Amino acid sequence: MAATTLVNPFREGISLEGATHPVQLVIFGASGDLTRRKLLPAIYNLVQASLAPPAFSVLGFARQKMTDDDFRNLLSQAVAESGEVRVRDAQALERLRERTHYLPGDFQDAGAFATLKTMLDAFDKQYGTGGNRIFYTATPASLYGGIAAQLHHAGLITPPGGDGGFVRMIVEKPFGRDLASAKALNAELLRYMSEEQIYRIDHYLGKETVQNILVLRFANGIFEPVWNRRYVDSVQITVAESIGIEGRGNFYEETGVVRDVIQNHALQLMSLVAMEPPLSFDARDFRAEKIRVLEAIRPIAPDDVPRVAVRGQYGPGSVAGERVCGYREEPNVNPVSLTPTYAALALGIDNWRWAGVPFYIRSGKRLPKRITEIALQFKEAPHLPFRKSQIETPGGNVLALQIQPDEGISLKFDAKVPGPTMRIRAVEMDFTYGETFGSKDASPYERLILDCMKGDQTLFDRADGVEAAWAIVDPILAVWEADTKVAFPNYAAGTWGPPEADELLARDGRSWRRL
Amino acid sequence: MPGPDGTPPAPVAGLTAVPVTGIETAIAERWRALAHTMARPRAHARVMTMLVRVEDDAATFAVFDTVKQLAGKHPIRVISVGYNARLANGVRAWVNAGCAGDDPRAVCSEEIVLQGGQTAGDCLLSAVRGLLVPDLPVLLWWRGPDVGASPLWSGLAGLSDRIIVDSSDFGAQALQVLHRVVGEVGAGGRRAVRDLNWQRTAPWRAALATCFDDRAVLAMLDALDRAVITFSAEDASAPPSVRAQLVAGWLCRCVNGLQRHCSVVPGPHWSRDVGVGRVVSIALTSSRSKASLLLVRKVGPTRIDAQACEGTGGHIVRRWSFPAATLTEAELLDGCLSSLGSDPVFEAALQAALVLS
Repeated sequence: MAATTLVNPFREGISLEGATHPVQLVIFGASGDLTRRKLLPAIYNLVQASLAPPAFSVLGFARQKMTDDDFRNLLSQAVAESGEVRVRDAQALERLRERTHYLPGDFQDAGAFATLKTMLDAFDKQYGTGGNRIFYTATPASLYGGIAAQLHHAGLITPPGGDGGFVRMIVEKPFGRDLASAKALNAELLRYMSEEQIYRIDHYLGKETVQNILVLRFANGIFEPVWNRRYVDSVQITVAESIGIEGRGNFYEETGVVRDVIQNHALQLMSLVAMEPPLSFDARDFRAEKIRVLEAIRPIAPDDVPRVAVRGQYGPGSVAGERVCGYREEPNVNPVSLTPTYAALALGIDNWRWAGVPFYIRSGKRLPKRITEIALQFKEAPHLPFRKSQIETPGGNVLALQIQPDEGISLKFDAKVPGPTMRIRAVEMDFTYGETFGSKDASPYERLILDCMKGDQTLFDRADGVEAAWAIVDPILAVWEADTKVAFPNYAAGTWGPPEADELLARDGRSWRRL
Repeated sequence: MPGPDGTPPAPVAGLTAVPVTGIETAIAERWRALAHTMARPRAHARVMTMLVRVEDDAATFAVFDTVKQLAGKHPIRVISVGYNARLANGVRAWVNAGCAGDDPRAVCSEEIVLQGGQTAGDCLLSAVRGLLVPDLPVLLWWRGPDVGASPLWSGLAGLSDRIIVDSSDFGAQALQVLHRVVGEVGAGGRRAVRDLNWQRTAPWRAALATCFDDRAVLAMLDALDRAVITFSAEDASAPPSVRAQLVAGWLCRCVNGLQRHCSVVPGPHWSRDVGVGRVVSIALTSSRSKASLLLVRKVGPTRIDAQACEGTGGHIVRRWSFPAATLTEAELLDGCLSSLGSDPVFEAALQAALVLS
């Protein structure tokens, strides 16, 4: 006999901003930097804003020996220090502290996972969390598969749709270090759980402005008609950071800019700006279109890499008026390191909408300012009834979608300078989300953890999406890692990257936007 | 103190008196002056016009305090409209414009105050009509009990897409008045009515919904066939409060069959701690078993505590505690700004409440 699905009749019309289903959140790697800087403040914000369900608890798991009280103190300290906490609310913090626990254990120790299960079962009774669990892997990527296996062997992963409550796993980036390892990791996780239980997190997708790209494109009738090869000359995506590697030398030596930013954040932005309209904004439709456009990016043959990709590494220089050291002088960095801290790519999309439109992507450390934006450079008007001398600032229209630091949209267009003569000058019309809607935005982690609590996978990566992104950058990584004759450092800290990056666009008769 | 030309004093400090025909110019000048003090040039964003009917002079300060809080969160043009017994005829206007918060998150709003003598209704409306922000939604916050009776009502309501009233102002026939307003204003489907009093019940509704999100509790729902909503009252003979009646209507609308055994009762002893008329508890019980769900208002901190008991032995199976701080008028209005369409759940609850009453 088919089970009857009961529907809560009181839910209609009641805001579903918050999560409603009881849940326990287990953080693996609970003593680490990500937990302290991002996860604990995000969880506190959810509790403070009553967005976490009333029946909710947190359990930290890590190798480091700590008591419940130690971990609770870590929570209080994280909340006190975080710039992402919106409201300091002692009562909310106390509510969360009372429901926060810690279990020290080794990720390879089956006994620790058996203890974990015993504790979670007891907390289910204590907090009424009904067997619902979210496991968050804030650990090195090499541990993800092992954690999934241990959870499986401890009986902590139940199939979706059963009576035992839901089990979901949030997996942090980096998701693999190349296509082969990403495929292997996907296969390993999928051995123990289904795709609908895996939430691959890229915090960029939790940013309000990133989601606003979709609203701008698909909720407004005026943009989509010109959003194609007929009107768009080129697209530039910039993910620039003024900071260096902030003491994370060991991590960055293994990662580099392509794995750290291009393969995930930058390609996410590219897929959002280039994707076809999804049928709906639900996880299935949205992710299908996002992946489709990634698959349409023209594959890069090894021989083409020097023509379409530029790498760089910063040397000493000055940023924001302060002298800074070069990458090779940073702590825990090889003095002859070949790790790129800058990359610029020229990509093409082989589909009806974008054929012939170059997508230029650049990302780097120690650039002059922190800015993330997508700029659509429109083609010039087909005929100008003005003399060239009357146009003081040539360049055509640009629609720029700023992601950070100030989320907004600006449109550059030409206007007549007031006066008796015809003089044309570019002006910028600026729209800032903060001015319009006030300061409401949740941190990306807050939004994404909440989405996971609600079971909404829209803003999380699917296995084939991750693999499609790796397939784009894999040939570049392979060529660069095989070629050790590169002359690094090749740009000074505080500049916009190596000269070759300018040449990449100059060959096409274009230049990078001056930001 | 009146100005040298006989202009009445500004109703609230910070406003500048201007002729009605010079309102837009004065606001534009104000923005230009502010632009020199800002770090960078900005384009102004506005999301709606909000009309506020100010019922009397005494309400002016309260309205401005609330509007100030709203204007700090939404870039809106607020137009306050009211009669002033000291004005013989004509319409007087005052304006202000400014930003709250720091760049680039500063939210910039405009405030216009229009006052007219008792016979200036048409003049006030004509002034309002010329000041609406083109194309954007218009929201009317109607303060006071004389909804439908004031000459300003039909004019301002006719300009608006969303009308916010407070049925706690409506007196003994509050449900009937509310029903009439919803029927009149909502006819044709273009405009919608929201009630701040309904908005005040949101914590109770959210708490109850969350209790039933639990599958074990939801499974008990069929057995729960009786409901008692208790409200804070000064004595045991107090008539039902509108707020409690709306909650009762909502419960009956959500659960078929509950209307036969749904009652609203006064809780006299509660009035020591809780304002009169507020809901203080909701009890859902079963005539066939010991199953129950009880939600009770608590203080220190203000919250709603809930517990569910199973049907066989009446043992507690779930407990919850929901934060439920009292919402300010600005917070209630903020909730009404979040969506502009009609609220079918509210309208159905109102209908059901009328049947129950």
